[in-house]
Amino acid sequence: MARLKEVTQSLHAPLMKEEKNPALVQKKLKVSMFWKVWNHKRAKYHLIFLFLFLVMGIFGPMIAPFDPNKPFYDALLQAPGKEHLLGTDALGRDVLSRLLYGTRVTLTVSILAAGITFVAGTLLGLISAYVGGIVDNILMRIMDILLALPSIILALAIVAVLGPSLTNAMIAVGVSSIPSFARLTRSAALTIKSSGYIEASRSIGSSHSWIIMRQFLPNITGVLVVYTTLFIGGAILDTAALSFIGLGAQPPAPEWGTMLSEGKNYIYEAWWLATFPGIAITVVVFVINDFGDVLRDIFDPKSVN
Amino acid sequence: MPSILKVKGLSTTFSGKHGDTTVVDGVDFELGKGEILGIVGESGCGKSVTSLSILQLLGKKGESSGVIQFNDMNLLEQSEKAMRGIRGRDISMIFQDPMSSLNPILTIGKQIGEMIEIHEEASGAERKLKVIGLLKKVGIPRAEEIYREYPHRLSGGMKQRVMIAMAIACNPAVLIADEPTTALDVTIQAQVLDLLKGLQKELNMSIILITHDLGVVAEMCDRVVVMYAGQVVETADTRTLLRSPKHPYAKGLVHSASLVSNENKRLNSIPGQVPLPGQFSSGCRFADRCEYVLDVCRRSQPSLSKLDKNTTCRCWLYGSKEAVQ
Amino acid sequence: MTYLLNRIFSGIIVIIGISIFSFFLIHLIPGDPVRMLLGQNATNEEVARLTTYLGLDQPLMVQYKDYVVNTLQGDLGTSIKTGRPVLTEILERFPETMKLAAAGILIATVLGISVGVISAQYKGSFIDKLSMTFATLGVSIPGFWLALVVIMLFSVKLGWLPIAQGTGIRDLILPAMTLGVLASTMISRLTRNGLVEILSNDFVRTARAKGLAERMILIRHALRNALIPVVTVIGLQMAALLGGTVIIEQVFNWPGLGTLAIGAISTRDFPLIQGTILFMGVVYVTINILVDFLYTVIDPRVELSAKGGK
Repeated sequence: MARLKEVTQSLHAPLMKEEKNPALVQKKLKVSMFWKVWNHKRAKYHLIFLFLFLVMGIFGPMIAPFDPNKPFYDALLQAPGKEHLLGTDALGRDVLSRLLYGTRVTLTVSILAAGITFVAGTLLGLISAYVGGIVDNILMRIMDILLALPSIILALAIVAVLGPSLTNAMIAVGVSSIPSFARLTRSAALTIKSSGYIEASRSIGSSHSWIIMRQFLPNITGVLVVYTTLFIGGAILDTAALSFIGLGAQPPAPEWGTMLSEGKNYIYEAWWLATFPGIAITVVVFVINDFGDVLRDIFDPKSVN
Repeated sequence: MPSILKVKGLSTTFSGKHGDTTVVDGVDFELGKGEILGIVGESGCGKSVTSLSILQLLGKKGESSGVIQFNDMNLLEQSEKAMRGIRGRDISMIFQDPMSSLNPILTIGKQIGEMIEIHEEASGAERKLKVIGLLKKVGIPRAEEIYREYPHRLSGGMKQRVMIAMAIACNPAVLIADEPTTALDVTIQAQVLDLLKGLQKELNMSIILITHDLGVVAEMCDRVVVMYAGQVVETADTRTLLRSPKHPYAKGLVHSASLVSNENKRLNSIPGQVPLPGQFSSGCRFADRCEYVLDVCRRSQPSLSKLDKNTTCRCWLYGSKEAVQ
Repeated sequence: MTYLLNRIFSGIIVIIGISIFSFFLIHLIPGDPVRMLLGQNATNEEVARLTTYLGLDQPLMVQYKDYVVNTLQGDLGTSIKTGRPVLTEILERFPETMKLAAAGILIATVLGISVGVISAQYKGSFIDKLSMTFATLGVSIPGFWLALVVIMLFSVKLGWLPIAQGTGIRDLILPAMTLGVLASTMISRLTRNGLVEILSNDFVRTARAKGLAERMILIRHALRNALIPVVTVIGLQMAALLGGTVIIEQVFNWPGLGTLAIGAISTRDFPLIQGTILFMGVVYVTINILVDFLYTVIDPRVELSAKGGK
């Protein structure tokens, strides 16, 4: 275990004594990264859960008992029971089926949003760290300005520009997290920059893009994985929030936030409408966040929260 | 000389994830009244843990056994509450790194005053007067100003003086100084040592001085305990030890210190390293580094045996018997 | 002093940045912004009228100059929807949001620090694990849903407190509690981790060697050190709370900046949107400068690093 820890530490902090590029030394390690996570008891359960969640996102619509938008007029606002396991809503639509379809929506939207954050954030962070100087200064100033607004406000501003829809909410959520992701990537990359193997690589005439792609990126993979995981959790919450206030997914789409928004109007008559989608979001985000924490412990042992 | 602190068979064990590790193993020594006793050895020999064991400052994971006799009581049998009354008042301690040993966000006056507040009854004004007196006593200029300062405004030497002022605030009978000058500049070291020596005479304290520097021992100590790998390997008067060390490890220490006049090259000339706790062999723990090693050394462990009135040694070369394990 | 001046200076730069951002917001709308705002059925005359109203027929630099001059004079434009000055709208709502945020941060601080101290004191125990699980739960639960659950529990089921009638103390309790509980989780985790780290410091050993009791060490020596980063987080949480209030206000029908902003976005009332964003940015920057000021009060070292530094 101690040895493994040593090796993983180098994912974040370059080996200062041996000036070799640890990523090249650790080609095989990429595969063992999975096993390292798998061997962690809590992380293993998280992985299994997230895998099941993924499966549900893909096959959910197939196992859903009903069409999510089909109204059962003889069963309006029916409490959870035999026929409709999680009850029906005001239009008589089956809540369980809507939840299952919603899994796919949530999954797609959050992954794409986090993808936007990841790509743009990594790029900006790496450029800022690698080029340094005035470029770094200007980029980070801009990030600071955007960080001065709560990310949900930034997302709201973007939705205001693009207009309310699920796609736009997804873009807004993704874009609004770029500043913090870029900052995190930058600081991770800066620790790599100061190490000798970058100098060495430069001295033998490697091109900038080669250095960025082959030297920086592989060495901060561990950290980026951790951040991205945590950002997916945030993306799910923010998209659901936007949908909840009517600026994201539009009815009748079976999206969890929209479902809660519809359920809000029936809290006196039908508690289940405003309960199950909330539980679904909380559980999924909780697992993702805790998984992120565990990954951080595994890959980035130095960082304290 | 009547003894004030008697340590007998002190063993300290830390429990960890991978089982227990005994760091201090059957340590015996006595501290006479008004005496300065040096404990020397390389880092990792268990010197600091020995001193922390005396005050029971090991934390939850450390456990000591044996006897630590102080004023007719065994400190190891005292309750935590009773120990709190002893710490600082009867036995106080100063540490290696004065930079980190002071709380960065409390004023000097407050931190020294706290010692008095815990152990004595004094009004705020009396306390302040006493603290300023203490600061002057340890040679801090502009004591009234320093009273209100925060630690980061002081140099390392000044901070160690503050630590000393704090330690002597309640006139303790015993002062344990754990490498008090190691973190300081060479020029400052001598000043701090002089201060300690002066205070010891003035207050008639006993001092346990933990160090790896035989130069410090020569200047300060009446007697010396040499520790190696958690055990005492030799005790002797300072003069005897420096003139004719018995144990091969003590020899190595003395030679490496006297061969080189340069302070920086302290103990480098004994080849090899101190074995880590938990990796001790069943024989003599110094055997692997010893130039006089015999077959018996690797087989079984020698006991600490008395050579004359003031000298003990743990070595097969000096007629040790087999240690009871 | 230099330190604070520095902070104020960079705060001003951030505010200028936000003003540029909020100014350009309307220009980021794809296509003709005015036609987008009015919808496809608008007549050319209507479009022309709104374009003039918003000043969009002027050259960009002139628009920005006007914007800056007007903003500095406290004129944030006029709401398209209500025809009232944006600043008036905002100032009307702002006290309500502050009331909610302040109550929330108060609950969060008290709750977060107590839980953090208890967790650190019983590190590794069941209580510690439970409260740290709650801390993760706190960042995983959607605020708006917690609000719904709170309403369902305390208003619908138990009938203890009203939902959405006004902005009195009784109306404040539920939304403030929701916000406070959410924000407390971050604070409790940080307090706990900070304390655990501080307790391993050398000066804690010194305090023990003095004969100080564990509880006193925790309160006198560790907590104050551990609270230094917590203060920063409370400051940041204050900002997050501004964001959090946006959604929570919506659930509780609380007439604050959040409901104002969401309403403005739904109706695409751009002057109001721009004004709200600028205003929130200014509030955020101000809070941060205040937090930094607080920092110099509780941490004597900060002052030095600024004086001694470059």
